[in-house]
Amino acid sequence: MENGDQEPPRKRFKTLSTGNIEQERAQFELSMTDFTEILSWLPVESLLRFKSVCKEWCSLIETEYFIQKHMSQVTPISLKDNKFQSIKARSFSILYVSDGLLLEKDFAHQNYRLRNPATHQVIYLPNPCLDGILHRGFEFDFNPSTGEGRLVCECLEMDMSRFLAVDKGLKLLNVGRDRSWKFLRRPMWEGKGQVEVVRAYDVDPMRDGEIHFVRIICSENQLSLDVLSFDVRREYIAINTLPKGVFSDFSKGVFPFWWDNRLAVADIIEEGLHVMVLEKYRNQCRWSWSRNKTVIPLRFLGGNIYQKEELVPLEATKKELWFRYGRDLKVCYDMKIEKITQTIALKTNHALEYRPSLRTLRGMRPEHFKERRRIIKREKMDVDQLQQLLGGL
Amino acid sequence: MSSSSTTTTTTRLLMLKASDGVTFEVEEAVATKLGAINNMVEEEGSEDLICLPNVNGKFLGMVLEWCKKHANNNTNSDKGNDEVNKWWDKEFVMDLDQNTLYHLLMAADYLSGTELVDLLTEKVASMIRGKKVEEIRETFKIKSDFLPGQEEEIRKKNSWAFE
Repeated sequence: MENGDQEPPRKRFKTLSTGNIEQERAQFELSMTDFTEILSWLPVESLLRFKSVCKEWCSLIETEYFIQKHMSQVTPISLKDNKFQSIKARSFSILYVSDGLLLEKDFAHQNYRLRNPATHQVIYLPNPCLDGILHRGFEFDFNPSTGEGRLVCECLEMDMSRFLAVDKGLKLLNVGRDRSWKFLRRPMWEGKGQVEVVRAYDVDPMRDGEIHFVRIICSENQLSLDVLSFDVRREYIAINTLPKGVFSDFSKGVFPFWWDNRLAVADIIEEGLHVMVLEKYRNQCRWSWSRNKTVIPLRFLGGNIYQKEELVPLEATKKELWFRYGRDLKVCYDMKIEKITQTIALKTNHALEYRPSLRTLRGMRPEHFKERRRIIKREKMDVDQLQQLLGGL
Repeated sequence: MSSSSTTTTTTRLLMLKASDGVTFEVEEAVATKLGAINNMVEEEGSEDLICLPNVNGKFLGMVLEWCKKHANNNTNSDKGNDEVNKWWDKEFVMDLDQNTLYHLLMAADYLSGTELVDLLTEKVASMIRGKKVEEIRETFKIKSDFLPGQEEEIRKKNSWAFE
């Protein structure tokens, strides 16, 4: 700051304002902000108990802000951990973990359920009827503005004549609301006559309720790039074909990655990253490709340190662009100063973590001991039946 | 950004005055670990005495002790130092009695020492996690404001957490 002539004479003393804390009361009173901080470190069990301290604590613990803050601070448990083994239910296998919820399947009875082991809550789900269809994993989306949770899985069908798995579409369930899974058929790929998928990329995982599948398609000896985009919250599916001529050569492949939480595809041409972003405006269903290519200069490729072939873009935020480099490194490129600022070891898959949370969904009920007993009983029955069967042989 | 070139080599000293008149002379790099002081320095320069009428000397001293440790170790940040800091933090909060802890927390919050607030709140949490609802009310002097029946309803929903 400049010292202009008009500036009033400097005060000799400065006092940090007392705010609205009255000094006498300040004797022993913590503010609600302090309590929010303290409570956010507590395990779920203590929080469920402390909901009955007073109304203010009760409503705080139920807010989305607090649930997310708590989840971000909690120490995650690895799925291989002994601690985790005790959370597992006996007859169920875990298919997917997200937001402190476990998607479990009882293979003997084809029961699906979502369970929060930390709050002892559960909801049984309708069967997605995946018999005869291959399916590729489940994804879960929680929409904080509506409080709704949705499960999605990708459906594939085996084309026996070519020994190829062909994607058919997606199955979707609004947890606690839908009585059955909805099937959303995939629209046709662009192109005429025989259309073949040459290359398939999965961009994982879901972001803000959007899933994208990037495919390079061959039709009449011409390659094109199609993105199958799925808006889970609006239950809308579309194919977005990249305009012709944007990238001259698809044969080497492209790099799909996240650009400011939107899907982008890129290619590294000489010393530049050429990016096309799939834009979507708020309150709109449809996506559209950015008008122009963005070119990020990567001058560090000019030196002899980094090899172009080892570089794979992972994610871009406003200023930072992260690459995977080789097998086990992650480098951060600052797009403003055009320099590599960080190099760190690539973390192993953290999808194999469980974070105990307060997350609850519509229709979730306490996991009663009675119910547990019933499951155990049923297990026993199965053993009895099996023995009978064996005895009969 | 003005043309001052002196700051890089010499460390500037700040005077902090607590509510009971006790003053502390600390390096700027130490005091600016506290968000509130940092703001004042950035806004208005740092040659003057800063009065802190909501913190007494005992707690201000402790807060500054923490700042000193963390400001020193920040200059050469490597993993070994991180570990040392963690140990130091653990020792720092280990033997604090409740009264000191809460006053220290209020001081850290008032001075916007975010990292210190994290450390202290985590410590408080570890002390109360196993407590009963009644004990919590007593510790923090909170009165139940539920209507008759409301509290029972909440308890019923998660009765297992009370066992």
